Amino acid sequence: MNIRRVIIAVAVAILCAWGSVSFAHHGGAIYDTKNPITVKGTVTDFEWTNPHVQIYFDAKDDKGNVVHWAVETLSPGKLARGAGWTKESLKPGDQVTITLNPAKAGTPVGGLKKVVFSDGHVLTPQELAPEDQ
Amino acid sequence: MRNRWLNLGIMVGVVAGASSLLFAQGESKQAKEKAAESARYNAHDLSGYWEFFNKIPGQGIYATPSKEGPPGFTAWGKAQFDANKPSYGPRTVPLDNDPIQHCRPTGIPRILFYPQPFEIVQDPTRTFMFFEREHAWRGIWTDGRSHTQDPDPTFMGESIGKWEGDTFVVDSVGFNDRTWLDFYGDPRSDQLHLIERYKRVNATTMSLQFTVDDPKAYTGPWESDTKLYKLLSGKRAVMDELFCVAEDEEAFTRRLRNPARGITSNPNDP
Repeated sequence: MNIRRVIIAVAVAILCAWGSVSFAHHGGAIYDTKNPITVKGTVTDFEWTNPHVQIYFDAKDDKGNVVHWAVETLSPGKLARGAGWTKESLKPGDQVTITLNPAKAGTPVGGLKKVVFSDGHVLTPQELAPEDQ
Repeated sequence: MRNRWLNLGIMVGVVAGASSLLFAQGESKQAKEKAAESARYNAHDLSGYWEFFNKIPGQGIYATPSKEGPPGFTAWGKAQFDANKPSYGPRTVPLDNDPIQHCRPTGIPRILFYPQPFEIVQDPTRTFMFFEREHAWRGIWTDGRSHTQDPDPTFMGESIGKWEGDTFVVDSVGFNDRTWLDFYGDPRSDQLHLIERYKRVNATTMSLQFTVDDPKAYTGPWESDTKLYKLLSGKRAVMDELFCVAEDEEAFTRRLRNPARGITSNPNDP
């Protein structure tokens, strides 16, 4: 393994561990990027559209009440080019476990970090430069 | 004893010789790699899909020309800056009035350091930049012409390019003041004179450094840091049809952007 591959592998590992997503419009000002949470629920809507792809899902809170969550991520072009997403990546009814950076406002809104499906496959909005892939 | 010193001397000599040989080989290898790298691209060929990524080594700051900020505002510039309420950067506010969230064109230079790709197509008399964002494009004349007298103010400006060595220098005027210079709400006036310098750093990287010369908004020229762009290849060399569609922006604002800020309505929204 040459040094270049080692450097790339380390860079990829750091980026994966980091897992933060940059949003064209918001950055970390709106979302709490230091305290991500994980929520389990059922997808109700998947908007494969600009300016940002959106996932809407229902989850139960501690008291058993249904909470309507809204999560945003990168644009369709970014997700398709860099992370292998398609317009079919999610569909209503999908059981998902979503890790997100919650809105600082305390509303059930977040910036996506990771989606884990019931069959175990994972989607992330990784934004890696071409040489990192 | 004498033999021991002799042996030591020989050892030192051998080690020094070997390391210099290795060093020379390293240098020679570097030179070969550099030559091979140069052979992989033509410095005057900027064609292809280029994308700004935040997290590549040496990347300049995202969203604004330089982290040092503008040299100083004129009275007009300060009034504009104070009136501009960004949704990104150190002055982020919930009730923003960023013109791009109302589908107003992002314009030059802001669209250049947006984290979405653009394609460069070079024609003998004109270089084109096609942006994924907004499906926007600009033409840069390379036929030796001069700027027109008092051009109509536009979002993209009037651009003329020429090669200075291996640097493609783009000189632009004719801008309007209807969009922001960057994400932070720094203003752009109709007096903006922008100079962009593009250079291929290696086979897969292009750099841009630009000068914002806008005497109506700033007290001096604002030099950008160096922005880097990666050449997309293979399946990644594609662009989405990223039009700004008012209904999509409005739906996103209603369903997600405003709830994320804890507000039910924003008087600045369309």
